[in-house]
Amino acid sequence: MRLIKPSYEELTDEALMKSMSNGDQRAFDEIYKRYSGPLLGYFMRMLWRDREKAEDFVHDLFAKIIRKPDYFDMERSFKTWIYSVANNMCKNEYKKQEVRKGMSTGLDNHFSLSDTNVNVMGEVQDSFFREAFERGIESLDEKHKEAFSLRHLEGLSIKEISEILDINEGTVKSRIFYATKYLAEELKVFNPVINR
Amino acid sequence: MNMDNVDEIIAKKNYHELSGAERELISELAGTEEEFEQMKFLFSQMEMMKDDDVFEPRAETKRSLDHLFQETHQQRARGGIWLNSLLVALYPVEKPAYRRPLLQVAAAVLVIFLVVPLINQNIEPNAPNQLAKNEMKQEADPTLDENKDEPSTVSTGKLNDQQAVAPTDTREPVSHTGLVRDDLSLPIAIDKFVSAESDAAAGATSTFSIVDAAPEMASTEIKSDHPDGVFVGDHMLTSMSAADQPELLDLLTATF
Repeated sequence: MRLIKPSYEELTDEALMKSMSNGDQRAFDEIYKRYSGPLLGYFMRMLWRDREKAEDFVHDLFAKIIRKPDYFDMERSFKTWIYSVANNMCKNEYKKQEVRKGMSTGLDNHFSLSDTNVNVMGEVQDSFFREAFERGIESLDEKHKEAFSLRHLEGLSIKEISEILDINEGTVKSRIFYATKYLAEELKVFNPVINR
Repeated sequence: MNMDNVDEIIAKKNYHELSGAERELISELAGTEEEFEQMKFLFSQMEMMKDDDVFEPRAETKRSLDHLFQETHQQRARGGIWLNSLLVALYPVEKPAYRRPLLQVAAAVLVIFLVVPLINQNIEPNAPNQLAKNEMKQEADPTLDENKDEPSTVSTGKLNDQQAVAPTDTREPVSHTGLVRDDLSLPIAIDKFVSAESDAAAGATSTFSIVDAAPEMASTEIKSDHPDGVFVGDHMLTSMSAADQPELLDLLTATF
């Protein structure tokens, strides 16, 4: 047994979750500090740059963790688990939007909304490249978008992504290849080397 | 194919720097130089965006979650077993080991149990020996047995107690001679006088006693009509010449 207990910053996600499930508020604070930002970014990218929705999703996700910490299997990686929960929440939202779209007059709600959001909110989007990139991401279908985002924007490994998406690693790679090639082609007009 | 390697090669190297093996490795993603440059540009831009995209949820979200957290765990505490809260108080896992009350109490008890016997160890070893010595002394000393028989002395138990506290003065000439106070006569008076004189005289190393000098005389019936009162014994009713006993002469001359 260590005489000096390590600080919360030094604890692993899994150890923090264990403490948190016993009612340790500081453990929860540390988990929130580590994951709230990246998850907000993930939700924003996955949910058409809708900040409000992304905030709500972050809140709902952490509320689930607070209410049901037992859902997390201590044997698993917390990072993988929390992203898989986040990804499932996004999928549910896509389904909801599909239903709404079916009931609507035929207008593509979320794409028009996201475009409006991008233009109106204008968060950190001061370059044309960024706008184009985000549009490119949005135009990807969900399975490619999630694989690409988890790999290149969240920095997860292929193995972790395969666990989160519950697909084999080969499929993950091929989806990432496809998305990367697609985006590179879409954005090549911004590349000064090619356009010289 | 290792994706990490592919990403690293594209991000860090130029196309003309690639080896044959590396070109083979990335051929699926970037078969030509143009495709390679497209990928390189995309990766570099994404890195820049990642650095810029530092998302911070609103403070309201955190406040709301904190409230929910407290509410949830208070409910659990109310509904749970109160012993759990006692355990949490005594053994808080979030604190370092040396700050957990349960361990502090355990350590204190351990120290007491280890230190107290060590302190007592310094006293105990001599005590039994001393007691044994006293007992042996009592058994070995015949004067104590004699005192037991005397009606005037205290009971044996009491005497032993007293002896344990303070050494008994066994120097009682009366018990040795067997004389009673009623029979006080001149030789005993002299004996007492000699003892008192000798005690009074500082530095006196030897005492003179008629009793010591002639115990057989002391034990006999005393009848003396001599004006000097120096006669002793029935069978020796003759006077003693003072010149024969220089100590007695000195005494008599000094006294009378």
